[in-house]
Amino acid sequence: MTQRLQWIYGWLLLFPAMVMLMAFTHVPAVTTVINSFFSTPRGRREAKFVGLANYENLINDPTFWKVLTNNLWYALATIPASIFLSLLMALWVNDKLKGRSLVRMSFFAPTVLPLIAVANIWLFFYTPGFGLIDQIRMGFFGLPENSWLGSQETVLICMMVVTIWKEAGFFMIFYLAALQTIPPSLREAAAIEGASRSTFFWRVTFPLLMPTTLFVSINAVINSFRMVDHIFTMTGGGPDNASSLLLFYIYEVAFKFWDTAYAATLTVVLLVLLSLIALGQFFFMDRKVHYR
Amino acid sequence: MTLQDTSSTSVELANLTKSWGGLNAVNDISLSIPSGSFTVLLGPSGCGKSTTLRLIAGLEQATSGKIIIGGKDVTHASPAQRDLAMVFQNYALFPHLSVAENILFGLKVRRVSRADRDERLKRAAEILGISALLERKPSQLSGGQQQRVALGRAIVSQKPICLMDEPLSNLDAKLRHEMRVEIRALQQKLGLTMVYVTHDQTEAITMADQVVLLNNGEVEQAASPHELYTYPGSVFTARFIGTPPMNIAELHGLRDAELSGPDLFPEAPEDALLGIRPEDIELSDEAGVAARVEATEYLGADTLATFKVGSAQLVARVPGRKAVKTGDTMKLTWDAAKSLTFNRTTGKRRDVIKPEELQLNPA
Ligand SMILES: Nc1ncnc2c1ncn2[C@@H]1O[C@H](COP(=O)(O)OP(=O)(O)O)[C@@H](O)[C@H]1O
Ligand SMILES: [Mg+2]
Repeated sequence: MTQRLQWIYGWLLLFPAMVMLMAFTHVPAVTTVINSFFSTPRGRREAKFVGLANYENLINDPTFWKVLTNNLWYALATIPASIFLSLLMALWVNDKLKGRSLVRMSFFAPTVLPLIAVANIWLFFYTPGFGLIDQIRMGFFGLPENSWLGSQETVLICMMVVTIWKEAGFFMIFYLAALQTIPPSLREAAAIEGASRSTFFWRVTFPLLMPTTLFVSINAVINSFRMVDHIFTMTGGGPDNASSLLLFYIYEVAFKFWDTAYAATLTVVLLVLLSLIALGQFFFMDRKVHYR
Repeated sequence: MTLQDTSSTSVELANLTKSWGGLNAVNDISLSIPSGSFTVLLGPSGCGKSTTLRLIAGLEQATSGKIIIGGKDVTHASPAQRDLAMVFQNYALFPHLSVAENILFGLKVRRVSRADRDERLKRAAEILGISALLERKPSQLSGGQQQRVALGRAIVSQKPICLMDEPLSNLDAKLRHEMRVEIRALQQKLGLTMVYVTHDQTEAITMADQVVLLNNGEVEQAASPHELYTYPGSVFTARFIGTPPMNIAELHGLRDAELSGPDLFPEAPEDALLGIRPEDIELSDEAGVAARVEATEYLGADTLATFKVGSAQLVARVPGRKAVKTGDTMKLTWDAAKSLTFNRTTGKRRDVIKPEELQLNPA
């Protein structure tokens, strides 16, 4: 009797959270998958089942391939770079140096700022002629002015730099927290044994940071497909989709071209891609990660 | 100083001082630790034991003074250059490495040949009885086993000097006793020069050749355990060593009590303090000072009884079979040669006080 009552209580307690989760996460996700097999309803024309037609369109859509390639390059560059940079900053800041809290603060600042604000700052850096970068280039080196965001060759790289700058400070906090859990006596024990700083790093610090690296890299992967705010502010995906990423393209298809079925199809692709990467990462890295 | 032979691994501290801000954690310590001896740095928490040990290890830089190891001045040498091993209080094991890798860490760093490494690991594991644990991670070991791994790391390094900072403080009482015996045996077997830090006077008394009692960053007394116990040089030492510690009572307070038989109290100024160990006090039917039992504490083999003697208090260790009850009155006696007197103002034992000090502090 009491068992049964507890069971009811349990479900009653879960109920509100479950309703929210279902209504706002599970149902839309399933609907998205279903929608990708239907045509886009227009006016009085209802959506009708079209099978894999949307997926065929996708394979034949050059813009899709363009943004996918962009996104892969973007991920390939920003993930390792931001992780490496954040580790470097964390190691530096973790040392006992003067004014360390100030340095920490300034490294962390990009994370606190909204990406839109960050994008505006960088917009100024990149402005042709009187932007910071061009002023230095022209003033010190006498080079001609350059339209960083206007050129197909440089625009994606510019976006990558903004992302790395933004993410490194965030990841640094995780590395810093992990570094501070390593007892100082480990370093002292190693020093007495005659281990150099680099030996200590590669044999002790780095392996002990592996769980953090796994966590940070999963975040970095997800962010590389998710953070597109700066594309809106800085380039709008242009010129000629040179800086467009998958999620930005989904936004355009859904809310500019109002082709919701095709947007759903793109979304399914993005979700599958992310799940595969996350799974792969867990299985690949889990074996090499030491959990305390 | 005589010529140092090069194989000697004695440790000398000369006027060593370490300060943080205005605070002298180690204050002008001079100390000689003979080669192959077991020296214990003893003292209450915060008296500078760890700091002294870390100065010897090179983990802290001395503010002033010198550290000489084996005749060489190493005051500014790096920890690795000092050729010593150290066992940390929290063991400092690398959590991601197996027991074997932990023990061999230093040897790999120093590029010791593989055959040599394996040989040393095998021997150390046998000595410590951890051969079956070599593949485990530290988190899969008990406190005592972790302790052994930390010792193993010190053994395989084959360094002539070994420093230990409260290595037993995380173990339970039984294990602590076993490890005490083991560490002492190991030190003698390997002929190590051991510098061992503890706040536990039992550890110090049972293990040491030389006990260095520290107080507020200064050496209170450096002596053999026996000398420290029998002839404490000061009230601080007398009260720190022994459970229960030596009785320190006001001489004139004791003299208030009724005394029969031979005089138990030494010639001394009125305000001197008398020191007598609880086990040196005997119950007597005939002669002695009159005393009343104020409290008793039954310990099994014997009983600790607190007596009111005159206006002072004395604790005596009474054999277990003798019944003492609170409120009883009886007579106490002791061998007057075993009692010590201390100067109240300086806290020093009176027979070690130099004449000029007496003039500075007229009794
Ligand atoms: N790194 C440090 N910075 C400032 N003060 C310290 C530091 N290490 C120790 N001290 C101070 O020095 C004194 C002695 O400390 P320590 O040698 O650790 O004592 P213990 O005898 O308990 O080992 C203490 O008052 C402690 O607060
Ligand atoms: Mg200490």
